[in-house]
Amino acid sequence: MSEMNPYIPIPVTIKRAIIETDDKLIKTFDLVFNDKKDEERFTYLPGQFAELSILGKGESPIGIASSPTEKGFLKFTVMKVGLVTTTLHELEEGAVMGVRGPMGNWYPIEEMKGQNVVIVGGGFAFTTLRSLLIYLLSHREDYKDIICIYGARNPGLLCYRDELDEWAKRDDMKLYLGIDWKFGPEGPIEEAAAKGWEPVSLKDPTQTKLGKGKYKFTAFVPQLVQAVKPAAKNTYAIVCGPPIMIKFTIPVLTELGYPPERIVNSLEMRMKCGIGKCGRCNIGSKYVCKDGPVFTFKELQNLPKEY
Amino acid sequence: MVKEKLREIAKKLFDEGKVKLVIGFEEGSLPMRASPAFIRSADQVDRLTWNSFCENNLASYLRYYVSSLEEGEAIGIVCKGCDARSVVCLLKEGQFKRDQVVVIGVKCQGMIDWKRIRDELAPEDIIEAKEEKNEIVVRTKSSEKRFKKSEYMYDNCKECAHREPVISDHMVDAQEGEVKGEEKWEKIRKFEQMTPEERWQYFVEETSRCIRCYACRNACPVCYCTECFVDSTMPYWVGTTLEPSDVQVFHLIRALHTAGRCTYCGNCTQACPMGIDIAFLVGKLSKDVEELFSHEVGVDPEEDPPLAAYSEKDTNEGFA
Amino acid sequence: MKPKVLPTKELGAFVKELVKSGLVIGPTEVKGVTRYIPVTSGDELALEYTVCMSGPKGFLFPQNETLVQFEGYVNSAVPSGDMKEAKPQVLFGVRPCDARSLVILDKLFINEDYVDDYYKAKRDATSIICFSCNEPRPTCFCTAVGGGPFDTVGCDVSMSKVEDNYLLEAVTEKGEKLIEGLKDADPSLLQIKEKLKKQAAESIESKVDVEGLPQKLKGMFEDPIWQEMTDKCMGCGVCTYLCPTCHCFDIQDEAVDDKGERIRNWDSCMFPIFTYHGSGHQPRDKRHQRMRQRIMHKFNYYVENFGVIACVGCGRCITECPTNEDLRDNLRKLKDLEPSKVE
Repeated sequence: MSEMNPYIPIPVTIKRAIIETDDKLIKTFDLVFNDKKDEERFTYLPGQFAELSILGKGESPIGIASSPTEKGFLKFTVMKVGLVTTTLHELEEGAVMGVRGPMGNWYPIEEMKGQNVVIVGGGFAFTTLRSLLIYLLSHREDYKDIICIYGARNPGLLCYRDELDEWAKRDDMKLYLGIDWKFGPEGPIEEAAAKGWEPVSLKDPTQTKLGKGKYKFTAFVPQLVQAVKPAAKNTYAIVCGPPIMIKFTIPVLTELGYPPERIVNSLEMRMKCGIGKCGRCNIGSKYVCKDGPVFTFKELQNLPKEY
Repeated sequence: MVKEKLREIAKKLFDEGKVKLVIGFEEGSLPMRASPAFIRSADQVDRLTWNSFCENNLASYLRYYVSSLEEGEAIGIVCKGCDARSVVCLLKEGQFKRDQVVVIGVKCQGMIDWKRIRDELAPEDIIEAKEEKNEIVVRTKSSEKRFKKSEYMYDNCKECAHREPVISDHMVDAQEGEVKGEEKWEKIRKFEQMTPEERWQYFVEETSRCIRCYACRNACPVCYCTECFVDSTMPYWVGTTLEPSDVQVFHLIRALHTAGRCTYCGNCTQACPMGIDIAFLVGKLSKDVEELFSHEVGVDPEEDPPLAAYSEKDTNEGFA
Repeated sequence: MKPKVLPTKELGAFVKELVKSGLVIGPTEVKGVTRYIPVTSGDELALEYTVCMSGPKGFLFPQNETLVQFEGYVNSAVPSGDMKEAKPQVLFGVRPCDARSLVILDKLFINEDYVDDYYKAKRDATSIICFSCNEPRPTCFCTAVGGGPFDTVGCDVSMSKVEDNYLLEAVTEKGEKLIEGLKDADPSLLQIKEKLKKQAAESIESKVDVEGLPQKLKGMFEDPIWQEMTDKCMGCGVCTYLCPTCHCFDIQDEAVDDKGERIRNWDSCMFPIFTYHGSGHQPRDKRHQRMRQRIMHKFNYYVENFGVIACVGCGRCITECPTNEDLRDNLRKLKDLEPSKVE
């Protein structure tokens, strides 16, 4: 990293591009390095991100969705929001683009060893959590119980759906999926139930009966966390999602007994250089690109409320 | 005295509960400067002042502060002639309602081009400046110099045809005497006598100093788009570097966007740190609008904005 | 090395010699606009201006800088070159505040996290001949932020005007090489210089005191004073474009057909879209939040990260602000304020 100019994108080729969600706004790309040496140099850990670079249009900071245990490619899940991402969505397999990274810090995989891990994700922010989950499953003996809680507005907006079904079948982790109860697949909550999405007890989500094999619920993510009640003792909670989801999930976790230093977030910010020089992505004295994007809730409490 | 009258009016407005905020001017922290002041209660009105350095167009602030008003509340604003016309312009564009502003008009005598005085005395620094009836007296470390106000006024102030604000809820006469200035559009008329090549040269030379700081845009009361065309990436209308063609396009497009809405207040030239004569570019277009559509910017609150209205009388030069 | 002397009338010849070995950039004045541009002779220099409108920062960190050149269309573009090379250059007549600002920027661009090669290449190829200020301006306050009118921080050579001569003192080895051909100075000149130095520091009028302010600011993030302070700010960005320590930049690609460049441009945190997310979320949509960011960044965050205040007291933001926002007043207000109790 020190010899290479950190501003130059490394050439990669799009090996695979698939549409991830029903609204077609989210696509997942598998990228392969053009030069094997670049691939060997690109060592990363779950939680880090890279700047996806389209020379001629610009760059976009996107969390790495593949785990370092998956060799030979990098996976990125990208939502179409602006110039760069729109151009990216229109590129086909075989197109050449660039990657700068890996950047930022990573989830505390060392500190979590020997502990339970609860992964809470919302919407397409689940992307780096996929990286984390696959990493944990590849080092299964190092970690105790793994619970994954993932919610989206409706089933069509869940990412990695074929993998979700696989994970639901595993017996070394528990998976719970939630869809917003107002926006069931085609309408009201009863129809969602008919399609296999059980409502949680709305009066008191903690009273929900989690039957065997049941993992699909209509619930906002914070309610789903209340229903699942993951025990706080010796457990880390990794929370990643839109600001509103985080805002309501953290109090639930705090009430369950999670101390701020064991609630871990991954933040988003507008970024350009990705290496802490352009001054854009700071929260207080910390740059989200360089000192983050992973912060514990305790660290966030020490920073100005500016995100 | 103007400032006493302003303070009296402002105090009355606060006492009668008519305004939540009065925007005016107070003494600046540097010689030859006055600074926009935001008075929020009757006991602060003594900060208000008036002199020949009150050059900022306070109408630029109105949109920002009006957005925080509750139903029935209003903002008082001290307006010179050009400022009042900007207020009319903004009213016509629906940026706020008439009952949300209380216009305290001041019959303006013209503002002094302090940068010109500063540059003439440079590299010496100005320690103190005093305004007298017809002159500005400036003291540097080595000497004291006098500058005739009528000579050192801003070019657009010299040509002003509307010193008295066209709308006002209260009016204050500025100090004694009428200012005999130049004829309206005098400077631009001279510019029009240049050949197209000469005009282009002038434009290229002026904009060669531009550093794309966008002070001109932010100082302008009618530049208020939430996404300015220079910030757009989809599509990427104009490059963001100092490449001369990009700089020139920025100024040309901004001039076109403000044509027919510009009141020639000169805030853009005043804000520019590189001393570029920006006002003349848009001013020329405003003169064109005035002549083509018989419409003086911001004078008649009832008249439709010329580039947003159709009239049978519109000249169709260029069309059959 | 002994201090050297250069009679004022020989300045032109000295500059001509310097020009032979590389670019020489010095303060000039054209139509009332003062700035640092390359010069070829001593006549073009305008050393009598204490603070130029824009400083020499642009020669280490240009306003527009090509980071990468590339070839190929959007679906096949690859980098074809980066512009890291730098030609030797001498920044002549740089005031101590501007020289200090470059040292402050070094901490950001060259650190153990990442090294900005573009900046570093230019930095290594640059020599700086400072010019002390015999007459600080009314708006200068370098002494309040750790500098001084005769400071030598960041200089290779420190030059002072003493009567009819320039006194040149080498501060670094690089500096020694630049002035080794000159005559040794008479010790009496040094004594006069010390007197001038003392006079200059005492003549600074601006009363600014930032003692303890960085630590105090940490607890003031939610204080309502920021709103009041920003009332008259227009968000025009002039202060950031002229500030010698401002370093925020934007990166844009410009391409025509199958060739293009990725360019970085100076940007300003005072513009609303600076932190505008693609999702539409805008953490700093109010002006006072951006003003707060600017002041906190310079007087608190930079101190926490790098140990120095990112302000050199040059006063440009004060003299050029169209609405007369005065940083000295703002700092005074912040220093004197009793912090209100806000969670």
